[in-house]
Amino acid sequence: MTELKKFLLGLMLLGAVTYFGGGGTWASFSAETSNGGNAISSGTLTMSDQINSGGLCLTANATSANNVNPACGAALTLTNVAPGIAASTAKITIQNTGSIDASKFAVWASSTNATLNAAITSGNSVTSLTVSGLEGTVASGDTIVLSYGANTQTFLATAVATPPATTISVQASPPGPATANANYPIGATVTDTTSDTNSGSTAANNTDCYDRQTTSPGTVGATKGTDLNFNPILGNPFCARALLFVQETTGGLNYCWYGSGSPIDPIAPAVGEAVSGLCAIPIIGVTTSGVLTFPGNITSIPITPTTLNGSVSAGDQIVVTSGAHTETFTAGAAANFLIGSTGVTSIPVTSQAVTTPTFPAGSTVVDLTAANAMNSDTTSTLANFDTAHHSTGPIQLPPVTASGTANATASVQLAHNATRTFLVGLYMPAPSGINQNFLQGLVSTFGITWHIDQ
Amino acid sequence: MSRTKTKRYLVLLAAVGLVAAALGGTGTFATFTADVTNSNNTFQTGTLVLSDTVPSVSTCYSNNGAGNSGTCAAIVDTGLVLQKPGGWISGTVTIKNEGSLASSDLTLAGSGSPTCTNTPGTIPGSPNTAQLGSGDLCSTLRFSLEKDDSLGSPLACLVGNVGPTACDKTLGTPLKAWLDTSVLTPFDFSDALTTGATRYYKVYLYLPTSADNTFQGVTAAFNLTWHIAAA
Repeated sequence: MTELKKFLLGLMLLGAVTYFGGGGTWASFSAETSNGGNAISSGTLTMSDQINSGGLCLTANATSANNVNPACGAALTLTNVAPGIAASTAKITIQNTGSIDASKFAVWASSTNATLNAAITSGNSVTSLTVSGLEGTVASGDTIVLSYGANTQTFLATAVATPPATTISVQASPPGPATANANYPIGATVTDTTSDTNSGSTAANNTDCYDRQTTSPGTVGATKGTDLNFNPILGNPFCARALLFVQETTGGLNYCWYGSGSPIDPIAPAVGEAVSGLCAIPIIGVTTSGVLTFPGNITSIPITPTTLNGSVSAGDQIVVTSGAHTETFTAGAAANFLIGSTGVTSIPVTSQAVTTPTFPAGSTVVDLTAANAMNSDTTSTLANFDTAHHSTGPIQLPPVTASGTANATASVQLAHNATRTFLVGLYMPAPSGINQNFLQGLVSTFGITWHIDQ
Repeated sequence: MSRTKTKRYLVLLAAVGLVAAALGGTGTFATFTADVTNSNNTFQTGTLVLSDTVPSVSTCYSNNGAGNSGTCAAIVDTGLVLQKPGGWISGTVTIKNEGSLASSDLTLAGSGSPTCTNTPGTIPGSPNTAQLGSGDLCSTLRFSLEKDDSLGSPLACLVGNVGPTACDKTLGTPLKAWLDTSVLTPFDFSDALTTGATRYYKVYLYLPTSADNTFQGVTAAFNLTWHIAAA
């Protein structure tokens, strides 16, 4: 018997004895005091989401009135991408704007979700939900949860719904006619809580990330996705190929939470990123800003300021190319586009002599280690993020204490008023010798959810 | 606190205790949580499509074929006939990047094994065909490739008498040898095509005067594949 049970039983016994044992009335002197005005107030646990230097998106004033804001805006909108092009990243700043420390802070793949677009009245029969902004695929039989304020109602989908569907057919859960248990106004959240379980090319595919053929060209007059006959979307092939990375940068400390180089997807051998805490993010389009002096030893490669758009870890192979000439160096220390306010101006390398005087300013610079890691990576895809790290498989975010090190036992993961910053980005890999024409003219759409618990 | 109030308080505690004990001393706790979602992130790929236009034929697109590899009309019409040794034929083609992505260098190569096929013909009215139609036309023909402007004026000879002038058909490269080499190392135009960029080329085939009667009535057939990749 637990201690609590013993205590409560004791109280019960005391109460019974007192009630039945005490009796009689006494006329006696008595006095009373009372302590009035006692009050207890609860703290708050709210959060904000800021993309780059944009405005704050708050949970406190979400349209669903339940401290869940499912529409904080897209962090990444990238068009006309080709394989091997590192997508630009977005900086996301998460702040605990409440008064209570959060013991848990996590990131996960959004569930298939939408917003109610036609109000539902309590007591009315419900056979479908009119929605807007459906993100992801609903499979028949999926559990659909409607939420507004303190009210929720659970339904079962009775048919597949794929974007841009505006209706989700439902019945009650367990199966049967459904009747609304409360009023649900426009703006209520609609969540497929059993989504992100099937990324296969089947009718049961229900991931939040979904593909469509593009309907407008990347450049004026060019072909678009719907012009092509070799880019089917069954199974969301682009979601299954595009790579996602989530790189923390709070306080100048780096930790790769998802992506090539993360603990989930380490790069073998486990050097470089494991120490630097940097995700493998290939540098693209970087050029030297000066001549590599021949025949002197090179200890750093000067690069055009602000062009470094990825990360370099110590030990990475750095290849400099000019025409038919290439020279390979070894990075001596980490470098990424986060360090310094004026951008990185050089990549330190292990001292090495240049073999030919043919590397003028403008020579291209490639981090071959990072590029190879990402081009062969099939783990850190958007589809895998959905199926392995949705709400029941979150990526916990304990505080980072040093680059590459997090304190998993910390009792507070996001203190009140504290902020943590992340770089989120995408990369379309270019695996050697693999024709990826089937990915032409497609657009993948997906969401990322950040969550705190008291 | 009065005795009555005390009794009431303790009875309430007892009731609470009873209920809690019945529940096993546990309860359900609704915690505070908060969620934000960055939704509708999009990642969109471009397109890379090549068009190939020969005169009097509708434009052919790479996406007309499976895997973005279209089979288009011949540049050098098989209906044309080389009249005699010393004669030549030509054909023009317009190549355009119809996609939204810039390409790397355009390349050209032969294909198949063999890359060029000789098909002996028959000479009507000739009782003795042993000496006729057996020549290796593929290896004897001279191949030249010229870059033109949109009006057909020569800009440079790229295969044959390479230089910034029109091609001299008589100085072309042996066809089959060029095709065989191009299969291993595609001819690189060193010319990346931006989206919408168009190029005009002319192909010449010349039969040297040294060709003898064994070349009568022979057909040489070969393919030319134009290729671009995303930059």
